Amino acid sequence: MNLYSYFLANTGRPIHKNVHYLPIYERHFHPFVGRPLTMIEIGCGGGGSAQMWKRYFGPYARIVGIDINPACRAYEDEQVKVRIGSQSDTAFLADIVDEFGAPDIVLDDGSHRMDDVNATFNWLYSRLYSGGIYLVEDLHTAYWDEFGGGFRRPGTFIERCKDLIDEFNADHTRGALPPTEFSVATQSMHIYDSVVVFERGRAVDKRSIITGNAQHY
Amino acid sequence: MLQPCGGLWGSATIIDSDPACETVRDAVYCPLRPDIFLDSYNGWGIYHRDGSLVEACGYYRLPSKALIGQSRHLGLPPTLALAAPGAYVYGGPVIMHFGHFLTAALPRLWEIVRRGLPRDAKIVVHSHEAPEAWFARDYVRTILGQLGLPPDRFVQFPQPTLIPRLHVPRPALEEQNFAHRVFRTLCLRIGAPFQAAKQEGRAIYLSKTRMRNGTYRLMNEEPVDDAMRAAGIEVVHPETLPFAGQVGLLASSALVIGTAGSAFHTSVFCEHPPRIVGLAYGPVLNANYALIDALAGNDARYVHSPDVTALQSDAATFCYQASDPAALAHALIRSI
Repeated sequence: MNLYSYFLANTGRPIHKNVHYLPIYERHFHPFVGRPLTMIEIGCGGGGSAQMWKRYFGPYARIVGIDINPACRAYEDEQVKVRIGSQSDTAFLADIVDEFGAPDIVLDDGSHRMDDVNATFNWLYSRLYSGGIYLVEDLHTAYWDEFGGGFRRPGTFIERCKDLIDEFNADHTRGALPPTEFSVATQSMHIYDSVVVFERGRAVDKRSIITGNAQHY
Repeated sequence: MLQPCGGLWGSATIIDSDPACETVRDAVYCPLRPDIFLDSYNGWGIYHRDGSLVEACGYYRLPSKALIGQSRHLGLPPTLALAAPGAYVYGGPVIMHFGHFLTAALPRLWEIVRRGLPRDAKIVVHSHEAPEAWFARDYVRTILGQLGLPPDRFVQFPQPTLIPRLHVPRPALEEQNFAHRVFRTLCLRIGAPFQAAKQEGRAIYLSKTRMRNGTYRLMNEEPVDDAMRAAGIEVVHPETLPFAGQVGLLASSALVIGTAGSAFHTSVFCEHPPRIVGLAYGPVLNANYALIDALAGNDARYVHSPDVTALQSDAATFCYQASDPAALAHALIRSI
């Protein structure tokens, strides 16, 4: 199934996406297709995206939608569960993880406010399974005042990501930065237009070595 | 007479993420020597079984990230005592000086405000005193009490001891280098019951004239106190107050003036810290102040005066004097 085709052909519940997100989803979510997984989608929108994820990942997937709008409960079905609460309420998030277990995928398409995006990431990223994906979208709001954003404004998630790039390389800073919970448990960061993707996992061996015949070096 | 401080001795990197944690198998605890201060003794620390330092357990400070005492590699005795069965968490060095207690002992306790410490886990520390003796000090009793840690949660071993499994949270603050935001969360948890309503216009001067010792002292400070009083600024001696009172004092003040000292660090426990004007002992500010200010969100400004010069110092105190302390005080008052 091609997500872009599904999105364009959708006649069911509405899905609101920037079209260039669809290939990004495929690039990072493809390994989970057909496997058991728990996906937390923050922000249920019109309910169409949960249906898209269900069809994309297959029958072993559980999609947990989080929204502040109680009307979103109507989107529930056999694979889609919806819980009502704020994405920055860590007690609420803890209840979600207690109920459904650690997520394999988190997709933050919630309020897009910088304080909410940061608070959710702060709490939820470390709860993700090793090998899991954390994707934040619509980060153009990091540049917009009404979402707590602004160009190079301290505290936006984009500015946070710039610091996280340094943290990610903490082992190479010659002591300027210590290893952090993030640096020891993150395999990669991917920056796209309006989207940031984190792959969680440990780099067990980071030696720099040369193999082969040294005479040809 | 006053000039703004122009640089930092060290760096003040603030890190949003929490520190890393790791588990060390067969960690070897080597104790302090009672007769040697930890800075000068290379035999203490936590080591791997092969004698190499457990890097995550190292106590570092200074801009060079200097190892304080300890050794990169230590020859271990052939036989070791064995720690009693149970869970162990490394807590770092516990130094009985308020500033060092905040910057060395507290920073590894941050997990308490995240996932909590494992129940019944003992906190392994290096200290020249027994935990029961620390608790005779009000600030230790209050701070650790707020974290739910009685003396018997802490343990040190009198001889090199093998700990089969040691959980090591890296510190949330390293002096003159970095701090993680979770350190502020930890301090707010501690300070929560002691907050006080802000009194608009309340200005206080933190005097060291009653201190018997301190890391940095202006030895002819009394005329500064007098000038402050004459200007309607309360002169307070924070070390004479219990820790809870010190937090309340800063929380209730709109402006705090003083010579640089660890009393400023109490601001990290205040939800709404006061504005700070500090007199530093030179143009380059110890980065620890910048670290605390950044964590607490302090509106802080530091100045120095060429008219303040160093005197001969003793082992515990760096001594300074002002050529005209009253004039210095008036310059400070004019600068606020």
